Amino acid sequence: MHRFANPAQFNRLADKILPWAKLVLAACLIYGLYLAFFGSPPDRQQGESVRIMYVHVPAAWMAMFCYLVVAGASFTEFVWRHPLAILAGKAAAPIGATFTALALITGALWGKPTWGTYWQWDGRMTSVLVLFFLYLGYMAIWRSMDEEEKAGRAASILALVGVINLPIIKFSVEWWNTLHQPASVFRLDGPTISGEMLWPLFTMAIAFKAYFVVVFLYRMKLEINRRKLSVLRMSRVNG
Amino acid sequence: MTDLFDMGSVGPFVWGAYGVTAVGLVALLVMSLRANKAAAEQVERMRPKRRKKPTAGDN
Repeated sequence: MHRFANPAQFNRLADKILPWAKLVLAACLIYGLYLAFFGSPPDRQQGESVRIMYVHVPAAWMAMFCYLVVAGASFTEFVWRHPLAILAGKAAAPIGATFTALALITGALWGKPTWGTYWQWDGRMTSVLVLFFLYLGYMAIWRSMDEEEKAGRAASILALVGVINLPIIKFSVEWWNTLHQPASVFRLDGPTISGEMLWPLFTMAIAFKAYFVVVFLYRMKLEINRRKLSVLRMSRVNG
Repeated sequence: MTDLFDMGSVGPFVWGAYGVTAVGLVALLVMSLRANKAAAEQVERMRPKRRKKPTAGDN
């Protein structure tokens, strides 16, 4: 794992991955949008508003996935002191915050025509809002401390404590009475939604994952450049 | 075409959701690219210049 601790080596690897990730992103986005609007039927109960699912659900999945990346990076930094791990958490947090905000907004836009309300303080929506605040808190800690190492440690502690929110999000629809329907894709007995809707959903999910890879790699490069800058500034100050 | 935009009266919600998603994702991508470019340029500017090797013509 420490093989890619060298920023130059990481940048070379990122430059190899980026064109492929962009290709997957473009292909899946075009095909996924085509399926979402023309290749999938309206829902029997919800009608055309079900098409919001193809952006809302992948955004919600990515919101949780990005948090796993942030928490995994924090854990790696704590245990193995991997020099790039903490930068990986810092790079993934804004992407996770964006996906969480999108999941909340698109969920509200789906909720109005489906349930008659934009917002309800139920378990799922509230726990996703908590996830959004965790991302904001994580990023705020990074910005509020001058010393990078201390900021990284404090932000990592928050990220690791916040992991408890992930199972709450996942199981909130089973634990509490909620407007959200129970899990219909990742179930032990298989998905309960039709294949015509699963294809666009998974295609959009792959597109969002490829988007994450692209933006994450650029943000990692950004964090590496920022670290280089602070080293250069320090060396100038010290003569 | 009108049906595609109207979507049985839920068009504003559907297109609103896709619009917000597009704006959010494009904005994050553009901000990340621009910040990375600016940081890389700053690194290049601040990096100490390497001395040119003396050639036979130099005195």
